[in-house]
Amino acid sequence: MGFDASMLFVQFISGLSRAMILFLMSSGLTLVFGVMGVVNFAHGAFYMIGAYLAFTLTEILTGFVGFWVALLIAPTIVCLIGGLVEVLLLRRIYEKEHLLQILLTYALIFVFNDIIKMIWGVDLRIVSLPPALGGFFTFFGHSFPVYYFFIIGVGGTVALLLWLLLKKTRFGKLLRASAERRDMVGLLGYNVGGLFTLVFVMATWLGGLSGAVIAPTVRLSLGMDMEIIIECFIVVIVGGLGNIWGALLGALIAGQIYAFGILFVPKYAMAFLFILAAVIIIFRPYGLLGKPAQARG
Amino acid sequence: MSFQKKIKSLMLSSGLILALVLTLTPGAALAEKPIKIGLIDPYTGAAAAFGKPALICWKIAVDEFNARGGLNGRKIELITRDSKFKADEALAHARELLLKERVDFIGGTTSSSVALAVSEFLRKKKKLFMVSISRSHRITGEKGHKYIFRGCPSAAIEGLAGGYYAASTPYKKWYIIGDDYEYGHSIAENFWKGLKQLKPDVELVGETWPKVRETDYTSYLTAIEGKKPEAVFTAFGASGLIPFSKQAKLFGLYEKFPVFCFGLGDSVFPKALKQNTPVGAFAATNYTSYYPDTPANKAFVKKYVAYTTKEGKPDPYPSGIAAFGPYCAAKFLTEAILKAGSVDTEKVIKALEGLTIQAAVGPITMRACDHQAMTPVFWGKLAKVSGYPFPIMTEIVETPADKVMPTCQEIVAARKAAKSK
Repeated sequence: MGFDASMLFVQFISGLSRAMILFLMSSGLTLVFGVMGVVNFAHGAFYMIGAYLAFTLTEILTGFVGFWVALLIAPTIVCLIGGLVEVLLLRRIYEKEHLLQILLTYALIFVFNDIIKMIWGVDLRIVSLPPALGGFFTFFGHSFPVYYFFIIGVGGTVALLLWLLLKKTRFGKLLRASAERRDMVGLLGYNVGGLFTLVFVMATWLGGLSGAVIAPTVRLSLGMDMEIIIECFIVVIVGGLGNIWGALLGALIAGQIYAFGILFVPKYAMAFLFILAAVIIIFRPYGLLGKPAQARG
Repeated sequence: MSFQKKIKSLMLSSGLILALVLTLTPGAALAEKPIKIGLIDPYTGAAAAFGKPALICWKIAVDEFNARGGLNGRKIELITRDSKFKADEALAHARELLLKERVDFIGGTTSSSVALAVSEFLRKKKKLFMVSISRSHRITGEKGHKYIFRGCPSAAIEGLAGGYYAASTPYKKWYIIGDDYEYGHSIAENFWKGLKQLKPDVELVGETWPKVRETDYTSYLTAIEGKKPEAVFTAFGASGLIPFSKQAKLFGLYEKFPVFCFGLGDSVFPKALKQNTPVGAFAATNYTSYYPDTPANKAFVKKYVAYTTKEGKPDPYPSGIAAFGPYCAAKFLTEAILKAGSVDTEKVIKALEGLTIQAAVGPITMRACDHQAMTPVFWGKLAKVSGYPFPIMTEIVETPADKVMPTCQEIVAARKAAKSK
């Protein structure tokens, strides 16, 4: 077909930027499942709130400052809301069956959608790019927006911080322990409830951050949470539900499959990710980096 | 019987009697009974930017009808339902509107996929459906039937006119990217048909179809360059065009290639895109507030401004797709009800066939053979013009409908072929 190497490289970069957005989103999703055993359907809602908050903050504080403040404050507000949701609602149903958790988190999608409709209305909202990140990088005759490199940078930083947190801190050890044996951690005298609240706050912070980061590249509208959440579920299924590195691997695979699928088979590019998900579900239902259910104990 | 029970039975029976009396005395109530039109459009989500202006324009036409005294005193009442741009959602509403609200007519729909789903349902139910935004040529083409009318243009008109327009440019190698749903494929198909007709040596070097609710077009945008096209046709609909255009601008698509896109010439997209609206792209719409500069157009703009001011957001640039088209559709339906002197579906259908309305772009006729309004198309080049908050079309080329509409014989043949499939 005659694609030169530079073209392949550009496509790789575009796949990487997509992967990083998917990772930012999926990491929160998978963290909550891994530690708390809850499938949080409302994760997308936190992402949407993050994006809308970023819109309002950049409208109030225009210029360069506005964007950075939004990037800081939007996820913080989102994670406070997340904390409230955990303390007031989720906490009551950990011991109940999974169906109830699904009903509750699914209901939250509607609640948050209506709250956003009440606050921001249904009009389309567009967040402008921070001026400093609005330019292009040009390499090998191809140009690529600086902002997408910024997204890749944010994704990489978050992955690194998560790794440090999980491997090098006491908190991380506790998280890994309670993912394996929640009851034991409780028996050893640790406050499992508080731990869960913290995890949920972290996960919703990641969701809010994804929303704020992606906001300048998309149009904000009600239902934008559903537009991304399906792909995130595929990412965590491919990587292994509950495994952060699985989410990273799944996101990288999904991003590249997409990018190169489009390059080589543009008409049917959509299908590959779903085919991969189907193959994984059939042959390795616990995902690439997940553990089979019996080994989880 | 205890006292309480007595009271209860008394209340029950008096309630029953009251209900009987109410149902048995329809006389005066019937004359006042409003004509009900059910509207199904997206009022939330990305495509709400279409549903809302459309509703305003349905209201304008209905108010005009009611102000003239309605149909012997009977006024029209609009009942709205949110389709959320989804076919299954819309279908559930259509069913409910017919069975529960007992509407006389159904109008609306923005997504072409939604239009086709609702159309099939109403064909079976023998209820009149007036399409006011959806564009796919199949709606009044091969999937058309007796009960469906379209008061706005079809992608057959707009796409073919675009193809003819593009044929006047020197580009030979083309790339097509569009929303993977009914409308995207329909406008691309017709554009390519028109281009190929006038310029048989054009070559399609690549095409790609992102899913309708795609959030990230990065990989699609970078892949276009690999095929080295000379020009790009973008076939995006109500939901996809805004995020796509925004990201395409980021990637410099409009600087790298001449881009042709129906819709960007319409005010509805620049209103949302603002500074992200590309300058220099070849774009089109079925109506603009600035062309033609006639008293009829000025009057329409004035009315639209008055209505949007009432809603708190004065808008001096009514959209062709989201406002003018729905106004024409609503006007066709209300005029036909008056002409028929009845809300009987069969009589209104008779009245609609061949009906001509006076619109801001000139008279528009509802073609009897396929129930498609014959509306003109305007293609031009987007440029910054002082006095306008967004780039508008310049060097406008107007194509009248009869030059680009499929002939009645073609429609009959297409419907026959679709049936035998």
